[in-house]
Amino acid sequence: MRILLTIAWRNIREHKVKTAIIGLIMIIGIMVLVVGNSFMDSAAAGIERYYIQNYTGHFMITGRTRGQLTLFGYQDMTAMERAVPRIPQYAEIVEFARSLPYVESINPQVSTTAMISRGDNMLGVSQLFGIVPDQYQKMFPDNVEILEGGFWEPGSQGVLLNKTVAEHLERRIGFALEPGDKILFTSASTISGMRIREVEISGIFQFKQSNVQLDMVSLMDISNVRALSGMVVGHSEPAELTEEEQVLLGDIDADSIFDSLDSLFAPVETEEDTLDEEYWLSLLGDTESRDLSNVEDTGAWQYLLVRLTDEKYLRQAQSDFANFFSEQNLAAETRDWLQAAGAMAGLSYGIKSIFNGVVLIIAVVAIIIIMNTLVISVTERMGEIGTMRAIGAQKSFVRKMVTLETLLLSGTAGTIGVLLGALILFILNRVGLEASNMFFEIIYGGPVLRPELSLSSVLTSFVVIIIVGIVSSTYPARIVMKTSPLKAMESSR
Amino acid sequence: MKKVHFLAAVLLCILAMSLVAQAQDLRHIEEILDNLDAQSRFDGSDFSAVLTMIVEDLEQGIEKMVVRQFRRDDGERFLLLIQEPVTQRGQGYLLEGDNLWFYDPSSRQFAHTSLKETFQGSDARNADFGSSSYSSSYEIEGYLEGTLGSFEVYIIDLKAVDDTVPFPYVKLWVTKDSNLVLKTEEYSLTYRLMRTGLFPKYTKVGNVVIPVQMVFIDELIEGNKTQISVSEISTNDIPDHVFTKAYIERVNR
Repeated sequence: MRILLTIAWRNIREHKVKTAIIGLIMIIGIMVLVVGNSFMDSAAAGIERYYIQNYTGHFMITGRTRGQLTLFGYQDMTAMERAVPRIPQYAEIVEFARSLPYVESINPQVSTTAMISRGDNMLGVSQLFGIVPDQYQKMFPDNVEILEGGFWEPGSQGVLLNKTVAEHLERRIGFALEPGDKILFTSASTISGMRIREVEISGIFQFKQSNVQLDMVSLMDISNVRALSGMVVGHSEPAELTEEEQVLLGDIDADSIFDSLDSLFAPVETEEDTLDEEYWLSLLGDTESRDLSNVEDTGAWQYLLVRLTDEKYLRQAQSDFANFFSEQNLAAETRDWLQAAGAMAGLSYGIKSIFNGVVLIIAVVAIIIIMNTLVISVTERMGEIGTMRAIGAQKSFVRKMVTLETLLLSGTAGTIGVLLGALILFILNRVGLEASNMFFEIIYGGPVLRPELSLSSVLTSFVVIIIVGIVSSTYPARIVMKTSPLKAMESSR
Repeated sequence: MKKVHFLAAVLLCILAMSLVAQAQDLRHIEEILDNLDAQSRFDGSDFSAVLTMIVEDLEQGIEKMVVRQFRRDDGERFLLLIQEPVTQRGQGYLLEGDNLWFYDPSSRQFAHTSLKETFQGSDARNADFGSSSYSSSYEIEGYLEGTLGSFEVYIIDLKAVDDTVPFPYVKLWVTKDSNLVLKTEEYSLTYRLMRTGLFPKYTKVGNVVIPVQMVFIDELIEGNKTQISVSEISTNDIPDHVFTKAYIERVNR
């Protein structure tokens, strides 16, 4: 082994240009890998930290449902078509959560999207989180910065308008909105149809750490959000359909419908009675039952956010809740913070996957370049290798020599690359990277990113460089093996 | 040389004739669209009816809605007053020319909405409840002749001329003999099929022909569909005050 190391080291020193080319490629590759991976890890860790601390907790409890349910509602094709389910037996679930020693705090929420208007003007849209201010602030004490006014008083109603939403509305109406102003919120729900609520602005705020999705979120009293979401005590009775109405239920085929028709015209009776004023005023009949069924369902919540004393209890907590739901036969489930956070947080993770794909392509290119340079290197030394074979060196000895030479080079270049990467990260950490636009804000998980060297990126980089070293030395080693010692010695003359 | 001139003249004649024939064909299709719009309008009389809507939703199940419709096409007005289900009773849509208002009795507030929006989360759009405007809102992109079931039809491709209609592209299946729309396919800007409409039953009220059975199929979510049947049709005069915000508020008291 010592002889092998001596020969490999001598070869590296003697072929300075080639060593420099391969070494430089490896150093740059490793540096990019370390910086890039640390960068993405820091962004991902930052996103996770600030979502858990400020928006989602470690996980959320929801009614059982299919699809991509997030804290912002469904984020798939069915977003406008489905209502977020209510948490069944909410009080029992809260009691169970409070009995668990590792649960630090809980916060219930309801979410909906509403159009905002004032007078005849449709001004914009806002995502609304229906909350109870005390509970919300207890769980997320540091995420809200009040710019004007404040939360609504306990027992009263109001909306704390996001600064970004307020600025958008102000551009449309041409004057500044202030606490005390009233605006109309209109929502469309599949269960209760459209709903309108006039709500007083109690204040204007911004999330301390935000992104484009969170910039659209305003905080509103739970009563108004429940009303906008159609969370009322009344529910539709199962529809009673006549035979004729049942004909077109389920799958229908246009051709077959029109195939069986003799005539398109149906005899329809027309009403010719003269209608008096009484008729016009009693058209709706009894409206009292309507008013009773539209009373707010005060126990209804869509999300229960749970923060743990330590992240290490996450699996245990999810398992305990799953068992509880199963025992109590509750159609509820837990969703982790990443599912709760929705598209923006997911996008940052998606970009990391793209980055890893780019790294893979770079690695393949590096392998080809290094392999090519090594082929030239071993071809030049064919005479020397042939002589070694002729005086008794085994094939395995020569193969080991080539591989060890590459590994030695990769190891040295890798170490230099990691050190340079660490230096760059140290500088970036001190300076801080400011997101110049929305795209970078999503990647960074906030307005400023201070990347830190991550152990996983260093380990990944070394694994990658060793694989690159081994793979790129196999082909040159095979060329050497295929050439007979006699031919090898002849080629050196 | 004379032969060449003769052939060129014949070819030009054929080309000119085919262009004339094509123009005449398109004029014929334009006339059909004019006819569709004209026969859907209650000019000179009011119209009222009860709409029964069966909304099939894969998640929510089947819901039945009963809606009172009052229409006055002179002045582009309509009032849709929801009677069932009970939680939505009294909610109303009032169209006054270009303005469509929605009324929520639980907050006693009106808010602006659009004809392009869906009606109460169903597969119907608010625009489906007025007269049609194919000739003014769309231009003809092409047409084919074909059959639908046992009916001979023109299949007409239309492209919206502005953004006032719910969908930018529409394909119509119109009967050749009576000019009735049997089927519609509505597409997004990227030409993705969004909704299919079927109109298997019509009735004639005076000079106006209206569909009394309609089916709107959501092509994005399989299984979602809304059928609308029209009953209690009347062409009696409707008092002017019915088409006002004040009336919706009064009837909800």
